[in-house]
Amino acid sequence: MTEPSTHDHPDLVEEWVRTAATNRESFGHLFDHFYSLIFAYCSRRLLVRAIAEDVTSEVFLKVAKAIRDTQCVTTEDFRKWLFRITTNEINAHLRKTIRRREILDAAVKMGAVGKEACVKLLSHDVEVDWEQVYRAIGELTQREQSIISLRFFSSLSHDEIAAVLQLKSGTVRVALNRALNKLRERLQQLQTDVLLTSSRRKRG
Amino acid sequence: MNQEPENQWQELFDQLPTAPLSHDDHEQTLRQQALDVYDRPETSSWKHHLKSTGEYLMTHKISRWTATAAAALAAIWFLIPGNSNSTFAMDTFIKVISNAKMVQYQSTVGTIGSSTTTTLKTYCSDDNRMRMETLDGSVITIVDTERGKIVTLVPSLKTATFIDTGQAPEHLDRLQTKNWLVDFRDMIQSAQENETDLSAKPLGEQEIDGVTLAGFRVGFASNLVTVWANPQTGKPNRIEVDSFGTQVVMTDFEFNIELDESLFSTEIPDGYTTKDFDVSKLPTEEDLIQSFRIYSELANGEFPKTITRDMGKQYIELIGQENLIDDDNNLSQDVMDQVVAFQNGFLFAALMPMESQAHYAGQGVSRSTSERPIFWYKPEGQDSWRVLGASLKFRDSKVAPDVTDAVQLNIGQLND
Repeated sequence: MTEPSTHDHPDLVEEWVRTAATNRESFGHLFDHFYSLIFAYCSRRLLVRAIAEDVTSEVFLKVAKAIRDTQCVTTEDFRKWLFRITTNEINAHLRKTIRRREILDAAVKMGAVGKEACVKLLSHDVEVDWEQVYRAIGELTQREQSIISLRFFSSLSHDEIAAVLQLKSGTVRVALNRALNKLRERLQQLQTDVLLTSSRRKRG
Repeated sequence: MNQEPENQWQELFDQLPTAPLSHDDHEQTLRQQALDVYDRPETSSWKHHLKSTGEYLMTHKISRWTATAAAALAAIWFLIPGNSNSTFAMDTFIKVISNAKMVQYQSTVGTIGSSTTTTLKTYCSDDNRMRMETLDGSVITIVDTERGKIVTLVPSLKTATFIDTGQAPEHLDRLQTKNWLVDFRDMIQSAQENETDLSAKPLGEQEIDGVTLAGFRVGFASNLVTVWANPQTGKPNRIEVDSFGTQVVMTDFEFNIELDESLFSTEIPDGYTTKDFDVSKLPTEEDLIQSFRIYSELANGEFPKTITRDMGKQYIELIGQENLIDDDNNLSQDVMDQVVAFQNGFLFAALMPMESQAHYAGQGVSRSTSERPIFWYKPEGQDSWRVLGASLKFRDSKVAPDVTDAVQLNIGQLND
């Protein structure tokens, strides 16, 4: 996961957050600091580079429009606000069926997930591929997809996710647990389908 | 919570191939574009204030319905600066709304074009719980959005229906996270971010029940909201929302009244028969056909006036309350199963996603007019339509039927 520029001192970033509403240069620095983080998150979520660029653009243009009215005073506030806008943009994008298909087409090219990780999580000794993982994610509710993405694509804590999605932390924990169970069941089902198909082919 | 599963999933996702870098010039081009937007001065002071108001509402913990209503009023106020006929103490109104922990109101839900309405007493808490009950208390629905539970109780029959909305498919996601009021709040927020789709019309003042009220009408996408409020205090007196053929009228607002926590409890009371409604298994066309068949057989060949949330109640009226009791003077489980199956079929229609453009045109139609279309929708991803005629057979059609008095259905008919 790409992190913001490490050479930017935390106090400096916070100063930019506090002054960005009135200081153009501060806003520019915030852009430089957070661009790669947001683009990387969009890339993992949307898989197609051009689409990730489009969504990243929407995010920062919205930030530019709204920065003067934001209530953010800390870096953490700003980061959560940024991810909230990003989540909303991604969800709006994914409401279009054709976009979901584009993600699956891109996931096909990513090949298989490592076997060791699969065996730990799923019961069968059969690899899953990334297309199956993204398909299973795509079958979750919008909220569950957001929670999983924020948790595993951007390493946000439960509390941070709760702040981004304006939920209670407890709700996030419960929803995440439920979503992961659904994900596991779906992937196990997909693995079983693969095994059955393979078995039929051998018999045929 | 056990961290082990999460760690295992993290191991899996850590194996995602490295995200590609953006194209060489994307970052620099976007940076310049963002700075250009940053530099663009606000063209209207009301827009600036609307965004401030919207941001204030979204970052403070207030009940969601009040956020939508407040933002709507904020939009109107600042779109008509200096209009003294429609002025009211905005700050006072926002304070009332922002301090609301609980709101009680009466809502009347109807389908445009139909005289059938349902009036409910509604209670909303700022932690996203809601209780709706018919005025006579015969049907009570409790929604706990955070926990993903919906419970409907019929005290006279001691029956309960339980829905775990966490299992809902994607297009029913609004069952899980939001009702039409929260939808409205999201549209306000989107409008705030995009500075688009805000069109407001002042309606001047009028006297309702001896009280002078100021009115505004706001359009957001396909929702039309009309607000009548006290011009001095900003307290809403009446809010009307028109959305996809459904109209909700909210009146008799009371804020922050003390209520027993048990009113929002989703625990099934002792002695109730519970039916779990599995939202992960959607009803099918065949279920809908069966429900129409049952209804028309009981109603002398006629189809229902409309398809609403209380089809089960209509079924009970058709079979007669006395038939709910078996020979041992107990509630007949068989009959209750029939009620649920009957209602389930109509849910196929009522739960259609908006994109399906489902329509119902069965009012006043009988089975004898076999070719008359009574219901149609467009399946996801298809250009053609599925049309159900009065003969209760589906057919494919390239175009939607052109039938007068057809009413478009929407998921909002499950929730008000």
